[in-house]
Amino acid sequence: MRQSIRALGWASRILWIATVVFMVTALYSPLKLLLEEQIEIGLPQPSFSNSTITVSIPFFVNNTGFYDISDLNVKTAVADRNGTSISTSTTSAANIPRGGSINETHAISVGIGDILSKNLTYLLFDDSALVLGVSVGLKIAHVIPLQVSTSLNMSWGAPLYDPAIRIVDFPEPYNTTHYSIAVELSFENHSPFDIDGALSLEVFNEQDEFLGLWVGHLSAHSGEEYNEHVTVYVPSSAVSKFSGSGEVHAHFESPMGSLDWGFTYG
Amino acid sequence: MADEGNIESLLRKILPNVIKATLKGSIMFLLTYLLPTLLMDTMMLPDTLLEMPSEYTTLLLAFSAIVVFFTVVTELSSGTIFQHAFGASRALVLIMYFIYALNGGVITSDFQIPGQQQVVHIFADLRAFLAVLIVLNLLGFAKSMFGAINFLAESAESAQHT
Repeated sequence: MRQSIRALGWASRILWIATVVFMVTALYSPLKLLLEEQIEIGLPQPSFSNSTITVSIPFFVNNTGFYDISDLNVKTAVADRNGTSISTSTTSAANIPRGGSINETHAISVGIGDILSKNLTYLLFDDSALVLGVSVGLKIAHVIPLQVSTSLNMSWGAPLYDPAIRIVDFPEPYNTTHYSIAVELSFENHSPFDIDGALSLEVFNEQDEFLGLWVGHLSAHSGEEYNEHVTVYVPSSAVSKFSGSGEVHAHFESPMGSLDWGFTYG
Repeated sequence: MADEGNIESLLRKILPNVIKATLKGSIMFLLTYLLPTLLMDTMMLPDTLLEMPSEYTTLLLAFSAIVVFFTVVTELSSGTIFQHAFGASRALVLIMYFIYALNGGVITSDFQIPGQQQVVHIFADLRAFLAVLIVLNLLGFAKSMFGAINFLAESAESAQHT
């Protein structure tokens, strides 16, 4: 009896030491990566394709901890100031063995179609704040699940901030068949990306009768103010319909997507 | 004269236990409170990173108090049935302590990054670890119970012989 009690005591002591050592080292492992700056997050790279804005964030993890890191996943959720979800993205990484490293890229994609369908078009015209929720989950030593999450407030710059179209001059004879109307188009590109695409303007009068059309190219660099005078040609037969007020329909087409909006004038 | 002799023999009997209890208690305090605090202050949580929340310092102090208390009383009651009773009690108290301290195995904590308004939420699922701790304490409990049974058996045996 005495021998078995003694054996039980020793077994208990050894297991206690092993458990405490494992627990301390397991929890210290991720902290060690932070202290030794073995987690690097690269600069976000924006790109556009198929009506989607993609922001790619490269990250590098060098596992200098004491145990393997498994089930690593990075989740991001972008929402507007009202909490409407704009985009959710997940990146999962393979097992990072002790002493190993990974180089992954987390992509946050926002479809222009999503913005339009979720009634978030104000983001195209008004500066706002976006909430970026970031969550990183992992398993230490295949046993201890750990999750770190935070939310960041990001300022959003509208690509077509304060858009305005106004008729500068009344129709003036251009040639024997057409009159010309000078139209001023302006906005500020507050977004981090350049805007480039085809723009068409259709001028209508108060009775919604078509007067003339302008088709051209629009190019506004990030952070720049766009201010352009364009000339809309109105057939002589239609110039009598010009009443000094009405609406201009704008249609913008770019690799990021297409957009229609209207402006009243007069 | 007889009283003085009794006190002397009592002191001779108790004094080694008191010294052992003081030594073991001090070592336990050093291992369970001073060393972890020192480690966290110097190595794990420098000023540049996150600060240790005060609730964890309190929990660590409570753990140390439990361990030191039971180490001292177990040592003082060494050679009696109370030694085993305190051993079993310690296991049960520690089980309750771990369940409380580890919040049932699911730990959530919020840290504010120094100099920024951002709050970082940390979630750790330590249920597996809690289960191991409970098993270890049950092992200690079983050991104490066996010790008590053995003590009673040996006492009865020696009583029979005398």
